[in-house]
Amino acid sequence: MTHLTERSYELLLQGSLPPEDSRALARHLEGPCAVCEEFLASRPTADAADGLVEEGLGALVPAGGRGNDLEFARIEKRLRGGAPAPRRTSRRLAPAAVAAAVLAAGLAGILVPRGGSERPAWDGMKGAAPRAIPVRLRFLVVTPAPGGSPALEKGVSGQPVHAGASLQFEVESGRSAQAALVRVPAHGAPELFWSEQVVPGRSAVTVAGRPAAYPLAELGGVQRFVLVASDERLDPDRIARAAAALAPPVRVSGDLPGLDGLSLDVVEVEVR
Amino acid sequence: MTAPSRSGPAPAAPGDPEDAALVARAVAGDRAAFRALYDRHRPSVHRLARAFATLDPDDAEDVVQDAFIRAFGSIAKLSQPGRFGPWLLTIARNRALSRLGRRRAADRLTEDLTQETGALAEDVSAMPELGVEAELEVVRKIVAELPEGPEKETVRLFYVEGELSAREIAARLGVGKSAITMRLERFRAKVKRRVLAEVARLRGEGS
Repeated sequence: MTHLTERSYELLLQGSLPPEDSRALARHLEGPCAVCEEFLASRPTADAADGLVEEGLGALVPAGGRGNDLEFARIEKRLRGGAPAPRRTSRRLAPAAVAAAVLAAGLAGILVPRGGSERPAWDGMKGAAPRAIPVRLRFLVVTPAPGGSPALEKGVSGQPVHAGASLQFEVESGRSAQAALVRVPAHGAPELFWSEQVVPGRSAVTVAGRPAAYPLAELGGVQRFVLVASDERLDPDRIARAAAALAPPVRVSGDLPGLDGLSLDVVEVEVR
Repeated sequence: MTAPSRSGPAPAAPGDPEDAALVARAVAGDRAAFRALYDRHRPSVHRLARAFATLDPDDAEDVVQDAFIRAFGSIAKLSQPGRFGPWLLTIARNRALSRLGRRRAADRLTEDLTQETGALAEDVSAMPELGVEAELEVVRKIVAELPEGPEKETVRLFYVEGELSAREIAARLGVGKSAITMRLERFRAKVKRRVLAEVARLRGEGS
C-alpha cells in the first residue's frame, strides 16, 4: 500500500521521488484509491499537476465563454497599474443610499445594476454594427423590507423576481456613447425609460444624479430589458424598432435582424 | 503536443508551439499577442471557474480576470512558454479556491503575485509533458468507468455536454450547489490520480 503523503506528493511534483518509489506509486495510482482521491480532492491550493488535469478536462468538449473587449480592457488596465476594477460597484452601494434612490425613483420607472449572468459573455457586437461599442447591462434586485433597509441581491438574467421588487441598473460601455434602456414585454409596446450620454466604464442609471430603481409593480411574466448604445444620436423610433425585434420569446443571438449600427445587451427577469 | 512514450523518459517539453510563439511576442510587449493568448485560453479558464457552483457568475468572471492579470504580469518568468496553458489554469484554480475561502491560511503565504506565479512557473516547467491527447484519454477512461448515478450525470452535463455551469446543473437536478461542486471535485480527483500515475510512471522510467 503506497498512499500519497504530503512528502511523497511534494517529491513527485518536484521530480525528486526515487525512481523505485515513483514506479510503486504509479502502480498504486493506476487503480481506484479512495484514500488518495480524498487526499487530492482536499488540496488547499492548486499545483502543477492541476494544470495537466484541467488541460485534459478542457479538451473533452470545446468550451464556450469566449472573451470580450470589455474584460480584456479591464485586464490591460490593471496590468498598466490602474486601480483594481471590481465589476460589482453595485455591491458597494450603501443600503441607505439605495433606499433613498428607490424612493427617488418612485415616479418614472428607473433602475440600477446587476452582476454577471450565466449567459455567454457578450461583446456588445450584435447585429451588423460597423462600429460596435462593447456594452454590458447589469442589475440589482431591490426588495423592500418592512421597517428596514431594502434587501439587495445581484440580479441574474432569467431569474424570477417578486413584483414588489425594483431593479437597479448599471451600464458599462467600452467608450463614450449614447445609451438608452428599454423595457420590452412579451406583449405590448416597448417602453423607453432612460437615455443618456455615458462615458467609458460603468455608469449607474440615475435620475437627477441619484441612482434609481425600476419598479416591477403591476408587471407580470417575462420582462426583458434592453440596453441600446450608439456613437450617434439615438432616435426613439430607431430604439423602439430595435427593441421590438428583441421582444420575448425571441432568442437573443449574434445575428439579430434590424439592429443596424446599434450595440446591445439584454437581461430579463420573470416577474411573479 | 506529444503523446507520452511508454518506452523511455519523457521528451523535452516544448508544450504548445503556438502558445510558445505568442508568449515570446507578449514578453516583447506585443499587445496583439496578449490578446491572442487571452482569446485562446479564456474559454477553458472560464469553464474551470464555472465548475465551482458556489461561485456566482460574477465571481467566476473575477477568477478569469484575476488569472489573466497574474499570468500576464509574470509571463516573463515562464521558462517553458509552451506550457502557458497549464500554468494559467493552475493560477486560475488557485484564484477560484481562494475565492471559496478554502485556502485562507495559504493565502497569507502566497498572496504576493510575483511569488505565487513565479513558483508555479517553475513547478509547471518541471512537470513531464503528458500531452493533451494522453490527458484526454485519461479523462475519457475515468468518465467511462464511472458507475451510472448522480456523479456521472453531473460529469456528463458539465464536462461532456459542456453547456451548463455547475450552478445551472444544480438548478436543473434540484440539488444543492455544494453537492454539485463536490461531485465534480470527486471526479476531478479521480482524473488527477490517474494523471499522477502517469507522471510517476514517467519519473520512474527516467532513472
